[in-house]
Amino acid sequence: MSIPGNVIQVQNEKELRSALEEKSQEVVIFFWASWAEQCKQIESVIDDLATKYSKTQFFKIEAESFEDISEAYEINAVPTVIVAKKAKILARVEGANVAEVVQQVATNCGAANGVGSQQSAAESSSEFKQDLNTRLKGLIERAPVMVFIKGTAAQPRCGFSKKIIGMLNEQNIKYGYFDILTDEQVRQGLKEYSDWPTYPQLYINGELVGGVDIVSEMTESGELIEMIPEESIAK
Amino acid sequence: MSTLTTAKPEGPIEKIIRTRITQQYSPTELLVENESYKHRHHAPMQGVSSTETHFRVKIISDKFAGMPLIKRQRDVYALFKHEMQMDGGIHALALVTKTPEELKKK
Repeated sequence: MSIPGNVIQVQNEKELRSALEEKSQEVVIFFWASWAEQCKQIESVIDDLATKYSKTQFFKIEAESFEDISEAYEINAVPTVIVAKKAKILARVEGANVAEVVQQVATNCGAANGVGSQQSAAESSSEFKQDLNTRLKGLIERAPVMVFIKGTAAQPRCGFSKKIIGMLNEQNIKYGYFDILTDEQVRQGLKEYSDWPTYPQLYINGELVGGVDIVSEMTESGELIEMIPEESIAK
Repeated sequence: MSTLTTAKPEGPIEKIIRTRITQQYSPTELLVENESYKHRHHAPMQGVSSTETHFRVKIISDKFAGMPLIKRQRDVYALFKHEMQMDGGIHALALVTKTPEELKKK
C-alpha cells in the first residue's frame, strides 16, 4: 500500500512546527512508540482516515524521539491522537480507542474535506466494527487451542484463569493465550462477538468451547482431550 | 424441590438469581452461594461497594437434557445479561448445569 501524500512521518521538530504555523486548517497528530503493540492498530486507522480526509495532514511522531513536542502536547501514553488547529488542541484520544479516533477526525476535519461529519462517523463506525471483528477472528484463530485470560499463562491474574491454565497444562495441551487485561477493546469486543460475558474463554479450532466451568466438566468427563487436535498435544 | 440456603442473609441480586432460575428451569436442585467476600480484596474489586459480585450456582434440571454445555451456560448467562453488564453488578457467575441423570452418574 503506497503512503498517501497527506501522511507525514515527522523527522524533525521544525517540520511539524512550521506545518502547524503555516496551516490554519486542522491537523491530526499521532504519537506512537515501537514497544506499544496497540499503536499498530491505530496507525492503520490513521492511514485509512488519511485516504478519506485527503485534504487534512496526518503527522506521525515517535513520541520518545521528540520529547519536546510530546511534552508540549502533554503526552502521557501511547497511542495518543491529537486533532489540532494552530496552537489549539481540538481533541485528544488516548489509548487504542478506534471509535473515538474516527469520531474526532470526522467531527473536526469533516468540513475541510467536504464530508458531512454525521454521515462519515456512521459509515466509519460500521467499518470500524468490521475491522474489529476481523481482528477478533484473527486472534481466535491464532492457535488451534486458544485461551483468553486475565494475566499471562505464567502469571494469571485471576483464580478462574489460573484454574483453566492449570487444566490445560495438566493434560499436556499446547495452546496460545491472550491477556485481555492489556487490551480493553478485545476485552469488551470479544464478549459481544462470542456472546459470552466472562473470562477466561477457551477456543478450539476457532470455536468457543466455554469458560472454566465447562472446561472443568469436560476435563472430568474426558471429553476435552478428545476435542484437542493431535498437533496440540505435547508428547 | 429442595433448596439449600446460605448462612448470610439473601441480598437482592441473590434473590433475582434464585427467582429467575427457578422460573426458567424448575430445578430439582438449586444451590446459590455468594462468594463475593472471597474476592473483596482483589484489585478489580477495589472501590466496589457491592457485596453481591461473585456467585457459585448449581442447577439440576431436566430442561438441560440434550443441550450441549455451552448452550446451557449461555442460556443461564442470558437470564442475567443486565445484572452482569451494570456497574457494581454480577462480576462472576460460576455454573454447574446438570440433568438429574448426569448427577446420578457422578
